[in-house]
Amino acid sequence: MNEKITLPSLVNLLSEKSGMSKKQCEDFVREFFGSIVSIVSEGENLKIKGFGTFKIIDIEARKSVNVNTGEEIEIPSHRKLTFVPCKELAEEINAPFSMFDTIEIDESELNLNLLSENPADSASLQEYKLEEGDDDADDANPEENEEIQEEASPIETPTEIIAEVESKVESVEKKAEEIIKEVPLNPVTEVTEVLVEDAVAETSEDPTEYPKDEAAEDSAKNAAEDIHEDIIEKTETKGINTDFTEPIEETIYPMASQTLPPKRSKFGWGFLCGIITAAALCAAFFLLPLDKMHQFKQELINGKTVPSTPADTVNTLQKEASVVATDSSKTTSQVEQKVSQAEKSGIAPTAASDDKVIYDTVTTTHYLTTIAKEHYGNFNLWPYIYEENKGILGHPDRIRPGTRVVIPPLSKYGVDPSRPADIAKAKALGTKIYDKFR
Amino acid sequence: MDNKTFIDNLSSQTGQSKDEIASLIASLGSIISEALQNGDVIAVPTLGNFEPKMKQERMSVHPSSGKRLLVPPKLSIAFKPSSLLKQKIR
Repeated sequence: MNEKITLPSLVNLLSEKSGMSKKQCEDFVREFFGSIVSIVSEGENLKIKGFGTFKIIDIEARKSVNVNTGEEIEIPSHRKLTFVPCKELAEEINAPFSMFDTIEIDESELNLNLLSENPADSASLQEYKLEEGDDDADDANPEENEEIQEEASPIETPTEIIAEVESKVESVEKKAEEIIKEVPLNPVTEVTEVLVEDAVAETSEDPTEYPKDEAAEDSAKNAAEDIHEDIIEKTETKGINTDFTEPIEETIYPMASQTLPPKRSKFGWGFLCGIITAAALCAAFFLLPLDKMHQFKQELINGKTVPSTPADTVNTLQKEASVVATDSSKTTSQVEQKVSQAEKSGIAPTAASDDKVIYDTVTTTHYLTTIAKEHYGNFNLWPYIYEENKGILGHPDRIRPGTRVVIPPLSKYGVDPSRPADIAKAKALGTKIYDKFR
Repeated sequence: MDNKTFIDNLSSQTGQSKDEIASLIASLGSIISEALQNGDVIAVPTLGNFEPKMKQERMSVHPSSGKRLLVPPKLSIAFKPSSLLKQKIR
């Protein structure tokens, strides 16, 4: 398959087939093709039985454009050698596809396909068809009715078209009405369901959300109305087209689904808020009493007068808890503040405690190389930063922006940026790192 | 030039009889046909290359009746003359 058969292999095959010596076959093959070339180059056509015809055809001069410069050039007239295989050879070659035959395609089917593809042309196509019909009629009795038909045909065709179009428009309108009846039901019911859920979820948490909800309901209704209007418009505009039921239904459902997701997400948001506030309340219940206990213990240690019964302390704790429960909104905000403070204080000490370790953050514009340039004075030294942060980094070119990296002191690796040998070492290390990800 | 004169020329140049030449041409034709059916390319340095080519199916219109036809795919021989011969003929 797809091998290149050259002259020697052709000679071998021929000698096997004819039973003649290779020498004779080679002479013959050389002479055969040599004489073909000589005859053809003299400008003569050559017909060989069982092979085909070599023909020289004249090609007229034609204008063309130079692809590179865009200049117009004229290709001069010239002659060209063509080869047409004889019937037997062509049939043998085409054997795998010989069972196929040219098929006549039904004109009406083709037109239907065209109509579905570009319905705007339907009227013109119908005109075309009608004209064709007239032509046929003219052919059938060309002498007698020529003048009459020429007069009649322009009148007939438009009326027919108008009648067809009108009937189609009517059917379109009917279907559109049906669809409109169906449409408002789906989105509105769904929307109201969602709204009810929203309301249930949000009443327990925040009464302030109510006005918003009402506004949302209004907007949802507006949206539903919008959809309704849109659909009417669409059906009207599409009225002239032939295939309309499927497209219109498609347009309805995506629109309905488009309006719904924001509602659902809002519901989810409200739910999340509820969970957060509940968690905050729980935290307030547990954390504040513990603080009080702590204070109490410290008082004990300081040797202050001890209350005879621990029940009192319990009572006070309970009171505190009840207070907490009543001022839940205040306490939650306090707790949150405390938590945020704690977080800040938690981060600050860690950053402050490691005075010796320098940190830097990788961003979209601030990269390992730029960091190295900033801290070491040479961007080639970036591999040391990478080595220090091997654990958190992947590919050196695909570091997530915002990643905090440790900048190691160069003395740790025994590198001096002023020595060219160390720079070369760093470069080698860099290539090694890249090799890892290849 | 037709087949007969071609065979006459060949027999006078090689010294073989006309019958021998005719049979040799026939067997050469069948060898070439087989090779092309296998999808091989026949390369003759002085003349050019013979190559089987797949032609895709296509739609065409009957020139006189105006009917649309679906023409099936087809394997055909593409002959590409060598550049030297092209220059000679040009």
